[in-house]
Amino acid sequence: MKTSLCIAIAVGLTVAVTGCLNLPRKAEKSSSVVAFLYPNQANYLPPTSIPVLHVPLHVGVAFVPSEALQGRGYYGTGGELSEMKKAELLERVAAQFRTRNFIADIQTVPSAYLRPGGGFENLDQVRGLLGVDVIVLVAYDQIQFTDQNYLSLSYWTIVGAYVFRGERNDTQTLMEAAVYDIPSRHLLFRAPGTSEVRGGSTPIDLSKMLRDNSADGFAKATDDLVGNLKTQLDQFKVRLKENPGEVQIQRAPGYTGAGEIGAPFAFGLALLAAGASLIRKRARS
Amino acid sequence: MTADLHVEPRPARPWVTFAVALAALAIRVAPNTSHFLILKPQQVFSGQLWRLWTGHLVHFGSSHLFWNLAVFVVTGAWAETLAPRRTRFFLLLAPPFISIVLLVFAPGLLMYGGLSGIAVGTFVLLAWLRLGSEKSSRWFWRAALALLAAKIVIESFLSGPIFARISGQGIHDVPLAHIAGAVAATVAFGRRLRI
Repeated sequence: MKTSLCIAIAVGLTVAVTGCLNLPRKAEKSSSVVAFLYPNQANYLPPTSIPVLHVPLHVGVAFVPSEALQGRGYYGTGGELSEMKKAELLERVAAQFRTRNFIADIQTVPSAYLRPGGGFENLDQVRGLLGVDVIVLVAYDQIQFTDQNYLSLSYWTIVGAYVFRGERNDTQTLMEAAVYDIPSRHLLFRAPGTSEVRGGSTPIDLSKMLRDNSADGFAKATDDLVGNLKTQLDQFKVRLKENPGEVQIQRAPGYTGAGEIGAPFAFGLALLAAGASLIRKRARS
Repeated sequence: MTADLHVEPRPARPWVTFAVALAALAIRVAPNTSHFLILKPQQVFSGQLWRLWTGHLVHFGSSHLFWNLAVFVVTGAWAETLAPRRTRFFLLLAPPFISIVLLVFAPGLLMYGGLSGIAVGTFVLLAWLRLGSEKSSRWFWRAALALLAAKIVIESFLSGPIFARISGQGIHDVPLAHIAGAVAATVAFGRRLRI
Protein backbone atom coordinates (compact mmCIF):
# COMPACT_ATOMS: atom_id res chain seq x y z
CA MET A 1 0.00 0.00 0.00
CA LYS A 2 2.79 2.35 1.06
CA THR A 3 4.85 1.47 -2.03
CA SER A 4 1.99 2.08 -4.41
CA LEU A 5 1.33 5.47 -2.76
CA CYS A 6 4.98 6.46 -3.27
CA ILE A 7 4.83 5.40 -6.91
CA ALA A 8 1.62 7.37 -7.41
CA ILE A 9 3.18 10.52 -5.89
CA ALA A 10 6.35 10.11 -8.00
CA VAL A 11 4.33 9.62 -11.17
CA GLY A 12 2.11 12.57 -10.27
CA LEU A 13 5.10 14.86 -9.67
CA THR A 14 6.82 13.72 -12.84
CA VAL A 15 3.70 14.31 -14.89
CA ALA A 16 3.28 17.69 -13.22
CA VAL A 17 6.85 18.74 -13.97
CA THR A 18 7.28 17.32 -17.43
CA GLY A 19 3.70 17.85 -18.52
CA CYS A 20 4.03 21.56 -18.05
CA LEU A 21 7.26 21.58 -19.98
CA ASN A 22 5.61 20.15 -23.05
CA LEU A 23 3.33 23.17 -23.59
CA PRO A 24 4.03 25.33 -26.64
CA ARG A 25 6.97 27.64 -25.95
CA LYS A 26 7.01 30.92 -27.72
CA ALA A 27 6.83 34.41 -26.31
CA GLU A 28 6.80 37.70 -28.16
CA LYS A 29 6.97 41.32 -27.19
CA SER A 30 6.76 44.02 -29.78
CA SER A 31 5.91 47.57 -30.67
CA SER A 32 5.22 48.92 -34.12
CA VAL A 33 5.83 52.36 -35.63
CA VAL A 34 3.03 51.84 -38.15
CA ALA A 35 0.53 50.77 -35.49
CA PHE A 36 1.48 53.81 -33.41
CA LEU A 37 1.41 56.40 -36.20
CA TYR A 38 -1.43 55.08 -38.32
CA PRO A 39 -3.89 53.23 -36.06
CA ASN A 40 -6.93 51.82 -37.85
CA GLN A 41 -5.73 53.26 -41.14
CA ALA A 42 -5.55 50.69 -43.92
CA ASN A 43 -4.66 53.00 -46.82
CA TYR A 44 -2.69 55.90 -45.60
CA LEU A 45 -1.78 58.77 -47.91
CA PRO A 46 1.88 59.82 -47.86
CA PRO A 47 2.56 63.49 -47.04
CA THR A 48 2.93 65.71 -50.08
CA SER A 49 4.68 68.76 -48.60
CA ILE A 50 8.47 69.09 -48.57
CA PRO A 51 9.86 68.84 -45.03
CA VAL A 52 11.55 71.97 -43.75
CA LEU A 53 14.30 71.28 -41.22
CA HIS A 54 15.31 74.14 -38.96
CA VAL A 55 19.02 73.57 -38.35
CA PRO A 56 20.33 73.06 -35.71
CA LEU A 57 17.64 70.52 -34.96
CA HIS A 58 15.82 69.88 -31.71
CA VAL A 59 15.42 66.10 -31.57
CA GLY A 60 13.49 63.75 -29.31
CA VAL A 61 14.04 60.01 -29.04
CA ALA A 62 11.34 57.68 -27.74
CA PHE A 63 10.28 54.05 -27.59
CA VAL A 64 7.06 53.38 -29.46
CA PRO A 65 4.41 52.22 -26.95
CA SER A 66 4.18 48.44 -27.08
CA GLU A 67 1.17 46.40 -27.97
CA ALA A 68 -0.46 43.79 -25.74
CA LEU A 69 1.92 40.99 -24.78
CA GLN A 70 1.57 37.88 -26.89
CA GLY A 71 3.00 35.10 -24.76
CA ARG A 72 2.02 31.50 -25.04
CA GLY A 73 3.11 28.61 -22.89
CA TYR A 74 3.58 28.11 -19.21
CA TYR A 75 6.06 30.87 -18.68
CA GLY A 76 5.50 34.56 -18.98
CA THR A 77 7.14 36.79 -21.54
CA GLY A 78 9.48 38.28 -19.01
CA GLY A 79 7.27 41.35 -18.96
CA GLU A 80 7.60 44.66 -20.70
CA LEU A 81 10.97 46.39 -21.08
CA SER A 82 11.55 48.34 -17.90
CA GLU A 83 11.67 52.14 -18.04
CA MET A 84 15.25 52.03 -16.77
CA LYS A 85 16.28 49.66 -19.56
CA LYS A 86 14.45 51.77 -22.14
CA ALA A 87 16.18 54.92 -20.92
CA GLU A 88 19.56 53.16 -21.14
CA LEU A 89 18.93 51.97 -24.71
CA LEU A 90 17.54 55.35 -25.79
CA GLU A 91 20.59 57.09 -24.37
CA ARG A 92 22.80 54.97 -26.62
CA VAL A 93 20.72 55.89 -29.65
CA ALA A 94 20.73 59.57 -28.63
CA ALA A 95 24.52 59.51 -28.35
CA GLN A 96 24.76 59.01 -32.12
CA PHE A 97 22.98 62.32 -32.67
CA ARG A 98 24.67 64.33 -29.93
CA THR A 99 28.00 64.34 -31.70
CA ARG A 100 26.54 65.93 -34.84
CA ASN A 101 26.95 69.64 -35.14
CA PHE A 102 23.55 70.10 -36.83
CA ILE A 103 21.79 68.90 -33.68
CA ALA A 104 21.06 71.64 -31.14
CA ASP A 105 19.87 69.20 -28.49
CA ILE A 106 18.43 65.72 -28.14
CA GLN A 107 16.25 64.56 -25.31
CA THR A 108 14.81 61.20 -24.42
CA VAL A 109 11.02 61.21 -24.28
CA PRO A 110 9.57 59.17 -21.39
CA SER A 111 7.11 56.42 -22.32
CA ALA A 112 4.37 58.16 -20.38
CA TYR A 113 4.28 60.90 -23.03
CA LEU A 114 3.21 58.48 -25.78
CA ARG A 115 0.06 56.37 -25.84
CA PRO A 116 -0.58 53.29 -28.01
CA GLY A 117 -1.99 54.37 -31.36
CA GLY A 118 -1.44 58.03 -30.48
CA GLY A 119 -0.35 58.89 -34.01
CA PHE A 120 0.96 62.25 -35.15
CA GLU A 121 -1.55 64.03 -32.88
CA ASN A 122 0.33 62.53 -29.94
CA LEU A 123 3.66 63.59 -31.50
CA ASP A 124 2.30 67.13 -31.95
CA GLN A 125 1.60 67.17 -28.20
CA VAL A 126 5.16 66.01 -27.48
CA ARG A 127 6.44 68.69 -29.84
CA GLY A 128 4.48 71.34 -27.96
CA LEU A 129 5.60 70.04 -24.57
CA LEU A 130 9.29 69.43 -25.24
CA GLY A 131 9.97 71.68 -28.23
CA VAL A 132 11.28 68.92 -30.48
CA ASP A 133 10.84 69.10 -34.27
CA VAL A 134 12.29 65.72 -35.21
CA ILE A 135 11.59 62.48 -33.39
CA VAL A 136 13.45 59.19 -33.45
CA LEU A 137 10.89 56.43 -32.83
CA VAL A 138 12.44 53.18 -31.65
CA ALA A 139 10.34 50.04 -32.14
CA TYR A 140 11.18 46.42 -31.37
CA ASP A 141 10.04 42.89 -31.93
CA GLN A 142 11.47 40.12 -29.80
CA ILE A 143 10.51 36.46 -30.04
CA GLN A 144 11.76 33.80 -27.66
CA PHE A 145 11.53 30.12 -28.52
CA THR A 146 12.28 27.29 -26.12
CA ASP A 147 12.84 23.69 -27.20
CA GLN A 148 13.98 20.65 -25.32
CA ASN A 149 17.02 18.54 -26.12
CA TYR A 150 17.83 14.95 -25.15
CA LEU A 151 18.92 16.04 -21.68
CA SER A 152 15.28 16.76 -20.90
CA LEU A 153 14.82 12.99 -20.54
CA SER A 154 16.59 13.35 -17.21
CA TYR A 155 13.64 15.36 -15.90
CA TRP A 156 11.98 12.01 -15.15
CA THR A 157 14.36 11.70 -12.25
CA ILE A 158 13.14 15.09 -10.86
CA VAL A 159 16.69 15.84 -9.71
CA GLY A 160 17.62 16.09 -13.40
CA ALA A 161 15.33 19.12 -13.74
CA TYR A 162 17.64 20.95 -11.35
CA VAL A 163 20.90 19.76 -12.87
CA PHE A 164 20.69 19.20 -16.63
CA ARG A 165 20.25 21.97 -19.18
CA GLY A 166 17.54 20.34 -21.24
CA GLU A 167 15.99 23.67 -22.34
CA ARG A 168 17.33 25.38 -25.44
CA ASN A 169 16.40 29.01 -25.75
CA ASP A 170 16.54 31.05 -28.91
CA THR A 171 15.90 34.80 -28.65
CA GLN A 172 15.53 36.79 -31.86
CA THR A 173 15.35 40.56 -31.61
CA LEU A 174 14.66 43.18 -34.25
CA MET A 175 14.91 46.88 -33.43
CA GLU A 176 14.21 49.78 -35.70
CA ALA A 177 14.73 53.51 -35.41
CA ALA A 178 12.54 55.64 -37.64
CA VAL A 179 13.33 59.35 -37.80
CA TYR A 180 10.33 61.59 -38.50
CA ASP A 181 9.95 65.30 -39.09
CA ILE A 182 6.87 65.97 -36.97
CA PRO A 183 5.44 69.08 -38.71
CA SER A 184 5.55 67.57 -42.22
CA ARG A 185 4.89 63.92 -41.09
CA HIS A 186 7.83 62.85 -43.29
CA LEU A 187 10.00 59.82 -42.65
CA LEU A 188 13.53 61.21 -43.02
CA PHE A 189 15.41 57.91 -42.68
CA ARG A 190 15.37 54.65 -40.78
CA ALA A 191 17.88 52.14 -39.44
CA PRO A 192 17.42 48.53 -38.29
CA GLY A 193 19.29 46.43 -35.74
CA THR A 194 19.04 42.68 -35.22
CA SER A 195 20.42 40.06 -32.88
CA GLU A 196 20.08 36.38 -32.10
CA VAL A 197 20.95 34.96 -28.70
CA ARG A 198 21.04 31.24 -27.99
CA GLY A 199 21.41 29.59 -24.61
CA GLY A 200 20.55 26.57 -22.55
CA SER A 201 19.11 26.21 -19.07
CA THR A 202 17.53 23.87 -16.60
CA PRO A 203 13.74 24.15 -16.30
CA ILE A 204 14.20 25.62 -12.85
CA ASP A 205 16.36 28.47 -14.19
CA LEU A 206 14.33 28.92 -17.36
CA SER A 207 12.60 32.19 -16.40
CA LYS A 208 15.82 33.83 -15.32
CA MET A 209 17.63 32.59 -18.43
CA LEU A 210 14.89 33.96 -20.66
CA ARG A 211 15.03 37.34 -18.95
CA ASP A 212 18.83 37.41 -19.28
CA ASN A 213 18.65 36.40 -22.94
CA SER A 214 16.00 39.04 -23.55
CA ALA A 215 18.19 41.77 -22.06
CA ASP A 216 21.20 40.45 -23.95
CA GLY A 217 19.18 40.37 -27.18
CA PHE A 218 18.13 44.00 -26.77
CA ALA A 219 21.69 45.08 -25.94
CA LYS A 220 23.12 43.34 -29.03
CA ALA A 221 20.35 44.57 -31.31
CA THR A 222 20.99 48.10 -30.03
CA ASP A 223 24.71 47.70 -30.87
CA ASP A 224 23.71 46.77 -34.41
CA LEU A 225 21.14 49.57 -34.55
CA VAL A 226 23.65 52.18 -33.39
CA GLY A 227 26.13 51.13 -36.11
CA ASN A 228 23.44 51.24 -38.81
CA LEU A 229 22.13 54.55 -37.50
CA LYS A 230 25.55 56.08 -37.86
CA THR A 231 25.71 54.93 -41.49
CA GLN A 232 22.19 56.17 -42.20
CA LEU A 233 22.95 59.58 -40.65
CA ASP A 234 25.99 59.93 -42.91
CA GLN A 235 23.96 58.82 -45.94
CA PHE A 236 21.21 61.27 -45.03
CA LYS A 237 23.71 64.14 -45.12
CA VAL A 238 24.91 62.99 -48.54
CA ARG A 239 21.30 62.74 -49.74
CA LEU A 240 20.64 66.31 -48.59
CA LYS A 241 23.58 67.53 -50.62
CA GLU A 242 22.77 65.50 -53.73
CA ASN A 243 19.00 66.12 -53.67
CA PRO A 244 18.48 69.58 -52.24
CA GLY A 245 14.80 69.48 -53.25
CA GLU A 246 14.08 66.48 -51.04
CA VAL A 247 14.37 68.39 -47.78
CA GLN A 248 14.51 72.14 -47.30
CA ILE A 249 17.10 73.34 -44.80
CA GLN A 250 16.59 76.57 -42.89
CA ARG A 251 19.46 77.71 -40.76
CA ALA A 252 18.74 79.37 -37.46
CA PRO A 253 20.45 82.75 -37.05
CA GLY A 254 23.94 82.28 -35.67
CA TYR A 255 26.78 79.92 -36.38
CA THR A 256 29.04 77.28 -34.89
CA GLY A 257 32.57 78.49 -34.35
CA ALA A 258 35.82 76.59 -34.24
CA GLY A 259 39.25 77.64 -33.08
CA GLU A 260 41.57 76.17 -35.67
CA ILE A 261 45.34 76.54 -35.95
CA GLY A 262 45.32 74.82 -39.32
CA ALA A 263 47.98 72.98 -41.26
CA PRO A 264 49.31 76.02 -43.27
CA PHE A 265 50.25 77.94 -40.11
CA ALA A 266 51.78 74.86 -38.45
CA PHE A 267 53.80 74.11 -41.59
CA GLY A 268 54.85 77.75 -41.88
CA LEU A 269 56.07 77.71 -38.30
CA ALA A 270 57.91 74.42 -38.83
CA LEU A 271 59.60 75.81 -41.96
CA LEU A 272 60.63 78.93 -40.09
CA ALA A 273 62.08 76.82 -37.26
CA ALA A 274 63.96 74.60 -39.75
CA GLY A 275 65.37 77.71 -41.45
CA ALA A 276 66.48 79.17 -38.12
CA SER A 277 68.17 75.90 -37.17
CA LEU A 278 70.02 75.76 -40.51
CA ILE A 279 71.23 79.36 -40.20
CA ARG A 280 72.44 78.70 -36.62
CA LYS A 281 74.37 75.61 -37.74
CA ARG A 282 76.05 77.51 -40.59
CA ALA A 283 76.95 80.39 -38.26
CA ARG A 284 78.61 77.94 -35.85
CA SER A 285 80.59 76.18 -38.55
CA MET B 1 83.88 73.49 -2.18
CA THR B 2 80.68 75.46 -2.44
CA ALA B 3 80.99 75.39 -6.22
CA ASP B 4 81.02 71.57 -6.10
CA LEU B 5 77.84 71.54 -4.05
CA HIS B 6 75.98 73.88 -6.43
CA VAL B 7 73.22 72.03 -8.17
CA GLU B 8 71.52 73.35 -11.30
CA PRO B 9 67.76 73.69 -10.74
CA ARG B 10 65.91 71.00 -12.62
CA PRO B 11 63.76 72.31 -15.44
CA ALA B 12 60.07 72.17 -14.66
CA ARG B 13 58.11 69.36 -16.18
CA PRO B 14 55.27 70.54 -18.42
CA TRP B 15 52.63 68.35 -16.78
CA VAL B 16 49.82 70.92 -17.05
CA THR B 17 50.33 71.20 -20.81
CA PHE B 18 50.30 67.41 -21.16
CA ALA B 19 47.23 67.14 -18.92
CA VAL B 20 45.35 69.63 -21.11
CA ALA B 21 46.42 67.77 -24.28
CA LEU B 22 45.36 64.43 -22.78
CA ALA B 23 41.98 65.86 -21.77
CA ALA B 24 41.39 67.09 -25.34
CA LEU B 25 42.36 63.65 -26.68
CA ALA B 26 40.09 61.87 -24.19
CA ILE B 27 37.13 64.04 -25.17
CA ARG B 28 37.78 63.25 -28.82
CA VAL B 29 37.90 59.51 -28.06
CA ALA B 30 34.66 59.74 -26.04
CA PRO B 31 32.65 62.14 -28.23
CA ASN B 32 29.46 61.72 -26.17
CA THR B 33 31.04 63.93 -23.54
CA SER B 34 31.41 66.88 -25.91
CA HIS B 35 27.69 67.60 -25.66
CA PHE B 36 28.14 68.55 -22.00
CA LEU B 37 31.46 70.35 -22.46
CA ILE B 38 31.28 72.45 -25.61
CA LEU B 39 30.95 76.22 -25.17
CA LYS B 40 27.28 77.14 -25.68
CA PRO B 41 26.43 80.70 -24.67
CA GLN B 42 22.85 79.77 -23.79
CA GLN B 43 23.99 77.03 -21.40
CA VAL B 44 26.70 79.20 -19.85
CA PHE B 45 24.14 81.90 -19.08
CA SER B 46 21.94 79.25 -17.46
CA GLY B 47 24.73 78.41 -15.01
CA GLN B 48 26.93 75.78 -16.72
CA LEU B 49 30.10 77.76 -16.10
CA TRP B 50 32.46 74.81 -16.61
CA ARG B 51 31.89 75.24 -20.35
CA LEU B 52 34.02 78.42 -20.19
CA TRP B 53 37.01 76.10 -19.61
CA THR B 54 35.97 72.84 -21.25
CA GLY B 55 34.73 74.30 -24.55
CA HIS B 56 38.34 74.70 -25.65
CA LEU B 57 38.96 70.96 -25.23
CA VAL B 58 36.20 69.91 -27.65
CA HIS B 59 37.10 69.43 -31.32
CA PHE B 60 35.02 68.87 -34.44
CA GLY B 61 37.30 66.36 -36.12
CA SER B 62 40.58 64.48 -35.86
CA SER B 63 42.37 66.92 -38.20
CA HIS B 64 41.03 69.87 -36.19
CA LEU B 65 42.41 68.29 -33.00
CA PHE B 66 45.72 67.20 -34.55
CA TRP B 67 46.84 70.62 -35.81
CA ASN B 68 45.72 72.39 -32.66
CA LEU B 69 47.60 69.88 -30.50
CA ALA B 70 50.68 69.97 -32.75
CA VAL B 71 51.18 73.66 -31.96
CA PHE B 72 49.83 73.61 -28.40
CA VAL B 73 51.94 70.70 -27.10
CA VAL B 74 55.23 72.03 -28.53
CA THR B 75 54.78 75.68 -27.53
CA GLY B 76 52.96 74.94 -24.25
CA ALA B 77 55.53 72.41 -23.04
CA TRP B 78 58.41 74.72 -24.00
CA ALA B 79 56.83 77.75 -22.29
CA GLU B 80 55.96 75.72 -19.18
CA THR B 81 59.56 74.49 -18.94
CA LEU B 82 60.90 78.07 -19.21
CA ALA B 83 58.34 79.80 -17.00
CA PRO B 84 56.21 77.23 -15.21
CA ARG B 85 54.26 79.53 -12.89
CA ARG B 86 53.42 82.06 -15.57
CA THR B 87 52.41 79.40 -18.09
CA ARG B 88 50.22 77.55 -15.58
CA PHE B 89 48.62 80.84 -14.59
CA PHE B 90 47.93 81.44 -18.27
CA LEU B 91 46.52 77.92 -18.80
CA LEU B 92 44.19 78.39 -15.85
CA LEU B 93 42.80 81.81 -16.72
CA ALA B 94 43.11 82.09 -20.50
CA PRO B 95 40.25 79.65 -21.30
CA PRO B 96 37.53 81.59 -19.43
CA PHE B 97 39.00 84.88 -20.67
CA ILE B 98 38.77 83.77 -24.33
CA SER B 99 35.29 82.33 -23.74
CA ILE B 100 34.03 85.57 -22.18
CA VAL B 101 35.48 87.59 -25.07
CA LEU B 102 33.59 85.30 -27.49
CA LEU B 103 30.35 85.58 -25.50
CA VAL B 104 30.58 89.37 -25.47
CA PHE B 105 31.95 90.14 -28.93
CA ALA B 106 30.58 87.26 -31.04
CA PRO B 107 26.80 87.45 -30.41
CA GLY B 108 25.88 85.13 -33.29
CA LEU B 109 27.94 82.27 -31.91
CA LEU B 110 25.73 79.28 -31.08
CA MET B 111 28.57 77.04 -29.94
CA TYR B 112 32.34 77.02 -30.00
CA GLY B 113 35.02 74.38 -29.70
CA GLY B 114 38.77 74.18 -30.25
CA LEU B 115 42.08 74.60 -28.49
CA SER B 116 43.53 77.05 -30.98
CA GLY B 117 42.89 80.17 -28.88
CA ILE B 118 44.96 78.60 -26.08
CA ALA B 119 47.55 77.31 -28.58
CA VAL B 120 47.98 80.78 -30.04
CA GLY B 121 48.32 82.07 -26.48
CA THR B 122 51.06 79.59 -25.51
CA PHE B 123 52.83 80.39 -28.77
CA VAL B 124 52.71 84.15 -28.08
CA LEU B 125 53.77 83.61 -24.44
CA LEU B 126 56.73 81.53 -25.60
CA ALA B 127 57.65 84.19 -28.15
CA TRP B 128 57.62 86.91 -25.45
CA LEU B 129 59.71 84.70 -23.15
CA ARG B 130 62.31 84.03 -25.84
CA LEU B 131 62.38 87.63 -27.06
CA GLY B 132 63.03 88.74 -23.51
CA SER B 133 65.86 86.30 -22.85
CA GLU B 134 67.78 85.39 -26.01
CA LYS B 135 69.06 88.05 -28.40
CA SER B 136 70.45 85.73 -31.07
CA SER B 137 67.05 84.26 -32.03
CA ARG B 138 65.02 87.44 -31.85
CA TRP B 139 64.63 87.63 -35.59
CA PHE B 140 63.06 84.16 -35.60
CA TRP B 141 60.46 85.02 -32.96
CA ARG B 142 59.66 88.33 -34.67
CA ALA B 143 59.13 86.46 -37.93
CA ALA B 144 56.97 83.86 -36.16
CA LEU B 145 54.81 86.57 -34.58
CA ALA B 146 54.49 88.25 -37.99
CA LEU B 147 53.36 84.91 -39.42
CA LEU B 148 50.72 84.64 -36.69
CA ALA B 149 49.55 88.21 -37.31
CA ALA B 150 49.26 87.43 -41.04
CA LYS B 151 47.24 84.29 -40.24
CA ILE B 152 44.80 86.23 -38.05
CA VAL B 153 44.38 88.99 -40.66
CA ILE B 154 43.83 86.49 -43.49
CA GLU B 155 41.31 84.40 -41.57
CA SER B 156 39.47 87.57 -40.51
CA PHE B 157 38.87 88.39 -44.15
CA LEU B 158 38.21 84.81 -45.22
CA SER B 159 35.96 83.70 -42.39
CA GLY B 160 33.89 81.27 -44.45
CA PRO B 161 32.91 77.81 -43.33
CA ILE B 162 35.95 75.63 -42.79
CA PHE B 163 34.11 72.34 -42.64
CA ALA B 164 30.97 71.83 -44.69
CA ARG B 165 29.16 69.37 -42.46
CA ILE B 166 25.67 69.54 -43.83
CA SER B 167 24.03 71.18 -46.79
CA GLY B 168 23.63 74.85 -46.00
CA GLN B 169 25.48 74.67 -42.71
CA GLY B 170 29.11 74.88 -41.79
CA ILE B 171 31.50 75.61 -38.98
CA HIS B 172 33.18 78.98 -39.12
CA ASP B 173 36.67 79.81 -37.99
CA VAL B 174 36.71 82.37 -35.18
CA PRO B 175 39.82 84.61 -35.42
CA LEU B 176 38.57 86.51 -32.37
CA ALA B 177 39.56 83.49 -30.23
CA HIS B 178 43.12 83.79 -31.53
CA ILE B 179 43.25 87.53 -30.83
CA ALA B 180 41.91 86.91 -27.30
CA GLY B 181 44.50 84.14 -26.78
CA ALA B 182 47.33 86.45 -27.86
CA VAL B 183 46.05 89.23 -25.55
CA ALA B 184 45.75 86.79 -22.62
CA ALA B 185 49.34 85.62 -23.20
CA THR B 186 50.62 89.19 -23.33
CA VAL B 187 48.86 89.97 -20.04
CA ALA B 188 50.23 86.76 -18.50
CA PHE B 189 53.76 87.73 -19.63
CA GLY B 190 53.16 90.94 -17.70
CA ARG B 191 56.27 92.85 -18.61
CA ARG B 192 57.07 95.82 -20.75
CA LEU B 193 57.58 94.34 -24.18
CA ARG B 194 60.85 94.74 -25.99
CA ILE B 195 60.44 93.51 -29.50
